[in-house]
Amino acid sequence: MQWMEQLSDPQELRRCIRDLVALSMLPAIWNTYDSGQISDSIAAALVSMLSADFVHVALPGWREAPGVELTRTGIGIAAEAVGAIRTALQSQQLARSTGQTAEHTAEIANPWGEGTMRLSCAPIGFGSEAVLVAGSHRADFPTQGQRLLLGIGANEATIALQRWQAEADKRRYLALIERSSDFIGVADLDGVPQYVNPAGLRLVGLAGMEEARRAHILDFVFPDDRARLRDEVWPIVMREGRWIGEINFRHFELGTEIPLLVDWFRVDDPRTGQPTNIATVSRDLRLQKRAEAELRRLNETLEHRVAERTVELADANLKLKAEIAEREHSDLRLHDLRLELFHAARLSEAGQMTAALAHELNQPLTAATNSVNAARRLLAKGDQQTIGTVREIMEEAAADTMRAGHIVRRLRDFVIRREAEMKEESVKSIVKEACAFALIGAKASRVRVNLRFDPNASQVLADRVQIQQVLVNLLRNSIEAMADSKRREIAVATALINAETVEIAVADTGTGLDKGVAERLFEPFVSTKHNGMGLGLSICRSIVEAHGGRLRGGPNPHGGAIFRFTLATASRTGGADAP
Amino acid sequence: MPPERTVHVVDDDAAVRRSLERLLSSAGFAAVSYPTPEAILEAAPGLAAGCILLDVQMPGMDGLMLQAELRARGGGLPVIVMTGQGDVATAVRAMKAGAADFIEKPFNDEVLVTAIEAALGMVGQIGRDRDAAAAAQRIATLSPREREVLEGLVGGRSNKEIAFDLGISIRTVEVHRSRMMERLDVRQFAEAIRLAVLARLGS
Repeated sequence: MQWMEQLSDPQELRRCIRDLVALSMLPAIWNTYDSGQISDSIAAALVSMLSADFVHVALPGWREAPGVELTRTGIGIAAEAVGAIRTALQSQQLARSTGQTAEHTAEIANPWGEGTMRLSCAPIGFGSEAVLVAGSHRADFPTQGQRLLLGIGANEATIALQRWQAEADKRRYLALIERSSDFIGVADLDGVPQYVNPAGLRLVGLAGMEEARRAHILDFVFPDDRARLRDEVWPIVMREGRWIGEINFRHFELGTEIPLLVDWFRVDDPRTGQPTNIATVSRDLRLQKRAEAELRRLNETLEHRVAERTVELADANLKLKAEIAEREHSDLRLHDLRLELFHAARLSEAGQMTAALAHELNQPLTAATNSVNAARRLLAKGDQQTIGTVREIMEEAAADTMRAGHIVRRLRDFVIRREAEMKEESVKSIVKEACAFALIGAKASRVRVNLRFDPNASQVLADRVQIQQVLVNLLRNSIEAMADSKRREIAVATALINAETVEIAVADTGTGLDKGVAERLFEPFVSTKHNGMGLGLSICRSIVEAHGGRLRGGPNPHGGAIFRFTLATASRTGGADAP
Repeated sequence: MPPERTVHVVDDDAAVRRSLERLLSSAGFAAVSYPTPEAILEAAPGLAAGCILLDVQMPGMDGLMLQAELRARGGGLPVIVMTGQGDVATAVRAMKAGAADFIEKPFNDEVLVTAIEAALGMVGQIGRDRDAAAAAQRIATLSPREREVLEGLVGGRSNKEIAFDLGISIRTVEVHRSRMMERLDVRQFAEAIRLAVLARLGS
């Protein structure tokens, strides 16, 4: 070999051997190096060994490892020259020239001086993109020996980098396995554990692999499941390559059951296809089971809560129903009370009129009694001429009795308590009757009553007795208010104020409304009468409002007061939506 | 018909007036009726004899006011007041004001005739004194409790109020009341009132 001749020089030979030994030593140092460090180390060694001006290493990025591009310069070459070298190399496309997978030499212009720069290139076994380039301005570069060293260095670097890459993969997988929270284990075909990850060891309560290797994989399984594992699962895994299912493991120290979702699989030798190991990735189901139990418990609790709540709701519902019933009851009571009150007011009104009524009743009764007695006496005389007189007397007696009966009927109508009865009523008849009733016993007061009826306001929808109560109340208030007045006139007027509303106004010439009382006129228990309960107007207003009308009081321009209230015309009930 | 047998009727109710005229006429009295208190007051100076039968409740001036007015004008005719049923207070006031008697509307013709006959038979205060003495005698037959009940009733109090005042039950008051009526030999409560008022006036 040509280059061997050069090694005839013992000095050169010694140097070469020394360099080869040094290069062979490097991989041991590189054990813990990464790709960048390995590249730097080989570049540094070769610069020195080759007495080169520079050594350039370029590695493409690989997986998660970044690409490497570094340049070591020899003695006397400024570090700043690196840029120029790289530019020159790139321009030559030396480092990346396709197809240049073999060692070769080349020349470029000297980036930092005159003449040419001679290059020696060696691939680093990662395809065309990974390359080791040494350069020197010396004319004899590269010698055979130098090319040999470069080649050996590139090979060493290639092996080291490949090993590093392989170990990086292994480290990564190991990290994954070791950090996994799943139980990951590998056993030989006899069932002796070879590897159990830390999580697996922790799960079954083993201190380390030493202990694990002394056990058999059946020892990892809860006694109840051992036969199943041995007789069913293991043969399936060996035959079919995989089995997934739930198996209870056993805690070595506590002996407790550990439910696992087990994925058993067979590991085959990739070259021979023969099974070499059996392995498992198993997931601790306790958390899940606990979660499931918790969920079940929660569900049950929830169901319980729902049941409880349902009971509570049922209770609440009952209470609510009771309250509603109570309210309905109170409404009913209120309704009764209202009737009661109306009744009481009527009774009170009637009570105030008792004396007057008694007199009023006694008059026709007295007249009738007298007439009957007079007739009896006349008949006793047997005078034939008196028969005509007696007939006349008896007719009058009958008429007087009828009169008494009529008064009684009106009184009863007024006093008897009953529900409102809305009917189409004649305004005229209501007002006239109410006036007649209110004026019983009032003849003594010498009140003049003037009635004025609007012919357009003839029919209203009303409870006759209640509206008459309102009128009687207003009229009697008026009569009382005029007790000390010189002029005692009541004007009752009806008017159609719009198509649906009739207004009835009662005006008097009495003392009028005191300002303090006027504002609170319709409040219950407000009265100007020394013996009044103060319920009259408040009940009147209730009645009018129950009829959908309004009751107002105000001063009469001619002195005294005017009270007006409205009622619905009966025509309104003629519509299709009539109740 | 002598003026001594004349009854002057004052009532604002025409039917009552007419019926009274007929009744009194059939009972042998002369009846003159007046529709208002003013009407009889106008005629009063000319009334020499007979008695006055007046309604206690009339417009303008009631019977008691008219009674007082007639008295004030020197009319010496006895007055019979017609009151409402159970109007004890008015009856008592009328009697105290010097009425010869009172009758409750509506009345029996016999009661009316008796009252009128008695009134016509009275000669001023003397007649009343005689009546009062007789009444006092009858009142004296009552037990203290019965008299207390009567006093209460004359005072216009109800059975309930009397029971409360005397500290006895209403039922007991009713018993005393009916026994009191028996002892006084009266059927109408108004008669008991009349006796009580007369007796007190006389005592």
